[in-house]
Amino acid sequence: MKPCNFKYIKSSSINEVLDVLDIHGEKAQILAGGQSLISMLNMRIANPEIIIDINFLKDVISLENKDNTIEIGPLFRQLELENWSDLKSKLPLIYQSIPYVGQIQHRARGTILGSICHGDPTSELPLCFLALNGKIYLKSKKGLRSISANDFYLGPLLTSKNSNEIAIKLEFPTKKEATGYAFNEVSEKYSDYAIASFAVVTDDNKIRFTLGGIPSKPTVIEWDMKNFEFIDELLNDFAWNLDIEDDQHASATYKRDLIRKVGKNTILSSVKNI
Amino acid sequence: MAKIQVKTKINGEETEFLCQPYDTVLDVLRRDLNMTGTKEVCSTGDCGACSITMDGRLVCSCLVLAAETEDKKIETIEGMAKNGKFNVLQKTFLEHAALQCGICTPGMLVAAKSLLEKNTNPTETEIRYWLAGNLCRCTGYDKIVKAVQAAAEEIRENA
Ligand SMILES: Cc1cc2nc3c(=O)[nH]c(=O)nc-3n(C[C@H](O)[C@H](O)[C@H](O)COP(=O)(O)OP(=O)(O)OC[C@H]3O[C@@H](n4cnc5c(N)ncnc54)[C@H](O)[C@@H]3O)c2cc1C
Ligand code: FES
Ligand code: FES
Repeated sequence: MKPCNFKYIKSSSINEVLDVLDIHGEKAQILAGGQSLISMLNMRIANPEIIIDINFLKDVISLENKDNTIEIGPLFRQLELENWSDLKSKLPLIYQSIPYVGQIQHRARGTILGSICHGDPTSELPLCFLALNGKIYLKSKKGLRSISANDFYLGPLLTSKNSNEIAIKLEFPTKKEATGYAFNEVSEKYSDYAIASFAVVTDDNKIRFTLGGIPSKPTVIEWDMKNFEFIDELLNDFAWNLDIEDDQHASATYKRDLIRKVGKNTILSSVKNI
Repeated sequence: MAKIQVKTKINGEETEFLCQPYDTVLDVLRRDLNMTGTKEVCSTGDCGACSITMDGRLVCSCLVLAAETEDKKIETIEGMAKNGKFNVLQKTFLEHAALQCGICTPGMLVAAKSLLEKNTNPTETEIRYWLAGNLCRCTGYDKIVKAVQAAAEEIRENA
């Protein structure tokens, strides 16, 4: 199958993008790396009237290393982050998860912000964004607002970004002292979509546990470190509260078992990393 | 709808073409530029048969719009043999019988070449990691991996 016809607009400034989004709203779609969008166009799952290509934008940041945060702009590719020499020391969680994001070909084009905005419930970057509780900056003709990852994901491929907004920046908090980070994923074959993925951040006070793949959006729960000895029960309760269903890849029983066992292993690794 | 005029460099040669907004690079290569070496299998980024490089990076040409290639440098399988002489990977693929139907082969070769340009001494794991986006449904991956290892060895010997 081939894509539907659409009007192609190549933008060189954010203001130009905002004008088009303001007039056309949902009928227009931003094209970043295209690694989700073009595949959806080819399958005709997406049928936009207008494609706004942002790959030629001039007025955007790439990666900026600030005091307590790493800021990333809309054209920074996944492969560039993977190859960034400070990734392991500054963003250990992303360092562990990024090799699971598709294959070399997709990471070469796919952007960090594109993956975050696409909001696939099986995707690694949205999960880590939530585990780190990063922040995303959204711009429209009305102005600029920021949303924390806790409030960004609403459902499968559904975020609180409006159709007249472009994401212009993302902030990941950098590695904190006395904090452990761990990532784990179970899929049918290496780097395929996750059946279950886990990103965990722990410190002396709390366990921040996030789960992807199984629920319809990346999902977070926090436990007090004081309850660490009850972790098996806590994970079991969390799994049963999710309303998990069988699908063609895995039974509900198996998925609950992944949460109990792989979830626990991920917590243990993150505690070891503190 | 008006066609888009695109100027780009393909295998070192300045190239200009007209395309529809919805054409992918793959469409233009195969249909308009008669470069049918690059294969189309899935059109969803899953198989890697359409692999090319754009500004030195390995990409799936089915997931890049033709209009996005303005001012870029594209390399395809057609640019691999030089002056009628096989690239070392093409030679080792033949020697190791690393192909059967051949549909995945152009993508495999372009992907393997982009690996060896960065790393002339990859481990087996690194080769398999790099080629994870290239599917082969008939040969099996062992012969392909061996062919890449042999090519790497030859490149190192001749360096
Ligand atoms: C075969 C294959 C396997 C893959 N496997 C994985 C995997 O294992 N894990 C994984 O996480 N991903 C996977 N992906 C998806 C890939 O990571 C995509 O790159 C990513 O989801 C989207 O990023 P993009 O830059 O390509 O965005 P695009 O495809 O260009 O856009 C995706 C969506 O986000 C919107 N968007 C993009 N940028 C912005 C912005 N700055 N502001 C507002 N909206 C924006 C677009 O309008 C569109 O709706 C895979 C893709 C393929 C083809
Ligand atoms: S045809 Fe492009 S990846 Fe399969
Ligand atoms: S040789 Fe047939 S798909 Fe690889």
